[in-house]
Amino acid sequence: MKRNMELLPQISFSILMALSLKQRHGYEIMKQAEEDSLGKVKIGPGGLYTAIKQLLADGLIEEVEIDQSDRRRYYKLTKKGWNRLNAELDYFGNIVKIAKHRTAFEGISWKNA
Amino acid sequence: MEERLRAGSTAFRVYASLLRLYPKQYQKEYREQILHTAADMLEDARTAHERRAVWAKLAVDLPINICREHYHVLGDYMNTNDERQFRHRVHVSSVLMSVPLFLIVVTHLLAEVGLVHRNYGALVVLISALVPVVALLVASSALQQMTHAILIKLPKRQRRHVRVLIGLVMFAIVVVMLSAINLFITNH
Repeated sequence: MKRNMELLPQISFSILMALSLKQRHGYEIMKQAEEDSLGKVKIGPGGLYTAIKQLLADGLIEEVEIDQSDRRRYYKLTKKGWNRLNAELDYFGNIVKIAKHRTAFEGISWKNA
Repeated sequence: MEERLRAGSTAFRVYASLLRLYPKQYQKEYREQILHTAADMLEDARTAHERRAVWAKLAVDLPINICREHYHVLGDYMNTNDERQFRHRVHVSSVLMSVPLFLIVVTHLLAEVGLVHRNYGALVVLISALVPVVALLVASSALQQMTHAILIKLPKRQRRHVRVLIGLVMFAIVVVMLSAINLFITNH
C-alpha cells in the first residue's frame, strides 16, 4: 500500500465492495451497499451516479456490455479497482488489529471513549 | 425507460423533469440510469410509509447532487486551457457581472417611482450579493488566464506594467460593484 494513499470516500468504498461480488447495475449496488453496512450507508441515486462517474474516471470500475432492452448499465471492478479495494481493506484491517491489540494489552475500552 | 416513465405517478414525472436541472453532459450520461434506479426504489417500497421514505431520500439527494455536479462543471470550466474557452469565459463573466448591476439600477429606478415593495428590494439585494460572488470567481479565473496569455507574448520589461494594470482593473470592478450594492442598500 502506498504511504500517502488517500482513503476513498465512504460511498465509493461501498460501491467497490458491492462490485467485488459480481457485476451489478445502479440499484443493485445501492441495495448491496446498504446491506454491507447494516443499513448505515444510505445512498441516493444522484449520489450514487456522482460517485460512479468519479470511479469510472479514476479507472477503478468499468461498464459491462450487456444486451438489454431497458439499457441499464452494469458495472464491474477493474484490476486497478481490485488493487485499490485490497489496499483499503489492508488499511482498515491494520486499524482493527491495532485497536484489538490496545484492548487486549493496554486495557482500553472503546465504549467509554 | 419511456414506458416506465409513462406508467409512473405524477410525482415521478415531476422528478424526471427536475433531473433536467443537472448539467447537460451529466444528464446525457446518467439521467436514464438515475430514473431506472429511482423507479426501482419506488417499486420495492411496499407500504405507504416506505414510499414516503423513498421520496424523502430522493428529495434530499436531488438538490445536493445537482449543486455538486454544477460545482464540478464550474471547476472544470475554470481550469481549462483552451483558447476559445478563454473568450467564452470572458463573455460569461461579463454577463454575470452585468446582471446584479442591471437588477440594482432597475429596482432603484422602480423604487424611485414607488413600484417596488421593500421586501422585493431585499430579495434583489440577496441575488445581487450572490451573483457577483460567482461572477467574480469566473471573472478572476478568466482574467488570470488572459493575463497569462498576454504576458507570454510581451517582452519581460512590459509584463510588470500589464500585470499592475490588470490588477487595477479588477480592483476598480470590485469597488464599482460593491459601491453599487452599498448605494442600493442605503437607499432602502
